[in-house]
Amino acid sequence: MLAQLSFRERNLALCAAGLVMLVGLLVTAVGWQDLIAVHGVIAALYTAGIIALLLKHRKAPAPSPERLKEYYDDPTKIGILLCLVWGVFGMAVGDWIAWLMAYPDATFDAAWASFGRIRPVHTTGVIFGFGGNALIATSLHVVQRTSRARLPDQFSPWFVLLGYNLFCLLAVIGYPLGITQSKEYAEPEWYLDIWLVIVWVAYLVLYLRTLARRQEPHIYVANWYYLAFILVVAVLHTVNNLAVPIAVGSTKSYSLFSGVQDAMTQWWYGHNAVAFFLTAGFLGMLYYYLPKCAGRPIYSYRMSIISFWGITFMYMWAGSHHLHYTALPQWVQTLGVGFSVMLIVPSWGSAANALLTLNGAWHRVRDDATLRFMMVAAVFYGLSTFEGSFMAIRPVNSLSHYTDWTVGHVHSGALGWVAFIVFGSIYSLVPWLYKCKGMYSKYLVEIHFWLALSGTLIYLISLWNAGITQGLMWRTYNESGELTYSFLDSMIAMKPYYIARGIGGFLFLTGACLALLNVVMTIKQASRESSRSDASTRAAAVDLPVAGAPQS
Amino acid sequence: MSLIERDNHSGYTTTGHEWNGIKELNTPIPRIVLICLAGTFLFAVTYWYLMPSWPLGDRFYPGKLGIDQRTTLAEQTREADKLKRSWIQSVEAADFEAIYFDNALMAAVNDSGARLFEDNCSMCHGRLGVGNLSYPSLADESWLWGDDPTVIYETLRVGINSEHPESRNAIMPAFGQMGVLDAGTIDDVVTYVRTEARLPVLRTRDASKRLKAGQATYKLACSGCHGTDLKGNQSIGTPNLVDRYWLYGSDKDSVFESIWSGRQGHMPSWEARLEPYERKLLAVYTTTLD
Repeated sequence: MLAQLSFRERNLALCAAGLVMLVGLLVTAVGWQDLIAVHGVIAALYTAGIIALLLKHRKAPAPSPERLKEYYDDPTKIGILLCLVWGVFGMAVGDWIAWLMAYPDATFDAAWASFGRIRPVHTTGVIFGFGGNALIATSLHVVQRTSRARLPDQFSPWFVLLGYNLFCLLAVIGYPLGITQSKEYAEPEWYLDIWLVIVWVAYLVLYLRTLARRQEPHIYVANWYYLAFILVVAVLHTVNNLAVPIAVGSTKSYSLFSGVQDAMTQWWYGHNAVAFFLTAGFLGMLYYYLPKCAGRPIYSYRMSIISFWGITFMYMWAGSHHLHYTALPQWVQTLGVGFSVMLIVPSWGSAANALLTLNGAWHRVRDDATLRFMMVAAVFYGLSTFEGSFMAIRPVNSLSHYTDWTVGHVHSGALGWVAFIVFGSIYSLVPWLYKCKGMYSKYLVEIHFWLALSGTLIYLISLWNAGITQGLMWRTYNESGELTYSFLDSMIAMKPYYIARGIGGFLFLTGACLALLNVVMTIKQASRESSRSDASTRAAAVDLPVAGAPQS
Repeated sequence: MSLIERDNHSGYTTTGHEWNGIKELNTPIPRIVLICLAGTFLFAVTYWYLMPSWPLGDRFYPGKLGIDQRTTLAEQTREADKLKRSWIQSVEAADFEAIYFDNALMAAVNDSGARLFEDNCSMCHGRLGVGNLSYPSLADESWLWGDDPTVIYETLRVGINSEHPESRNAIMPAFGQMGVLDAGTIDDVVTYVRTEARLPVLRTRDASKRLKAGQATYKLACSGCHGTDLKGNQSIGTPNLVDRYWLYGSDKDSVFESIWSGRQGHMPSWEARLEPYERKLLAVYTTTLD
């Protein structure tokens, strides 16, 4: 795989890895008394591994110029594997903390295993590890096909992918040690935030350079969404993480914002992270893999336009609905309600556009679990966006806020929408990438589908019940005008729902393990087959060749 | 590539663009979508018109209805207080004896008292009030300061070893740490106290000698607070050592630790957090636990 890199790219990679290693060692030296040294050492070891691999292949012959006539998919291949490994890990931790809700003693009496420390391990593991790798891997695949252009070089995709995974790894190791800036979904401390900015700008530049090389006159909708995802996440991440570190050799920093401004900044980030990390990018995925798999044209280009601009413009304002009935001035809350309600139609526009695209291919949805994954994803996308706008309305929010309904809502999007579209995309993408007829086992895909669907439904239904029960218990007054239930009463009432949620999560996790197994087996089988026959002829049916490839 | 085709299934034409085999139809936006879009926009604009919404420099548009969440909350709280006032007054007016004989008030104790207990006391004393190691049980007959509701009411008000200026104070000194008694002497006291409490004691050859030594030390150092009969003193909150209830554990090591490092149990003052009627309900509720 590394032999594909030209000599210049190999040297560039060595320099970059060496530089990161140097920084890691420097950080270790400067912050020897601080936990930051742990991060420094891990970064150095991580890059040392990369350097060792590079040195091993340093003397390999120069790659053939023929490679430039094909799309560059090696980073995508690795990205998919990383995505699934992170997925299994993140979901396993998630299921563990789900059981903690019912059996709070399951922490081995260890500080590192307390709920507050491992909860971000779960969220970072699934959102950034699983979701982020899926986005990077598929975006690099999609942008090349829809532009009919190869990635401009072979170094920057690796820098983006491996740099991003270094960020995730350091973040997830840091939480159990207690390294966190306590901002939800933005827990990593200042130095990791800076590193992510560097990686992210490289990602943006790589994406724009590929788009600039495109041989198609128009930019496809999927790329609008991927680009919005990359661009807006850069802005969100930078502003939300503005902070002053107390020393260069220390993990600790203080946020630039305080009080209600900090709360608003965090939810401006938090809500738009849902919008642009967990929605826009995955809509890009939906817009490529669903029509490709169904063999149908997109239902309506005009709907795509309304949906895209509706979402990009209006999501930005809706974050304040996370702070209803708080110290946040009411006018900010009202603005958030208005924009949240206005978001319903653009969101449903995307869901409807996807489902109506399937008209004429419903028999394939019935027969093919891969396409069914994507269909269900579109349905859950519609459900959770409606639910979100509904919960943003103040009186509804007064019931739902602080309850497990919110957790259920997030997972309706995360499991039903994000994970379903990822699995659907991976199941269609892997056979294309490895040039084989299909996944190793169609049967396993089918089992995964039903495990994932039943897991999601059990999860959601139990937490809807839990949330509404909690919300009602917290606002029930007796005849004397006193609260009827103690908080403890509501916790005791939650126990059966929490157990059901743990079971639902376990089913979902089992499905993810099957996906990893199935993908690994497909890759193994493909490498066996490719040694026997020439598979590249079969792949031609899926992809048009790179247009205008350099002839050298 | 730009080639407009007609899709046989839907009957609509494509836009003429194609990306790696993906085409798009030029289907017009369904009327229902436009109606719904207009509906949601109308809702938002109306809502913004009625409620405080857009910023205007250093002020904001206050909304046609003049609603403000802070005034709304204050009004709702006032209304709720008005409803509760009459029975709260009856709780405040009644003395403890009267509460026990008033069915309506006892219903409030069982209802609101139990809720208040779970929300405020259960994290230390347990949901059923049976306590925990270092946290006294309120459901047994052993009381540090007495089981009278007026005493409990006062404890709730000022707390024990708390920051309240009138706090009850009961501190077991760290006899070992402060160098008052050495480890061997403390061992003897432990033996004496545990013997008196009818706990099994290891019978060594010099047992009777040590018991005597322990008794002598006890008289000198401990009896001032715990009494010569070891039964403690509720007026200063010292525990009875021979009533089979052990707040910090009855095993040899725990008793040793109590004497060596001392004990400074902490009960917060609830004066600033709970209303007088709430503390009254809690005091009565606590006496009903068993």
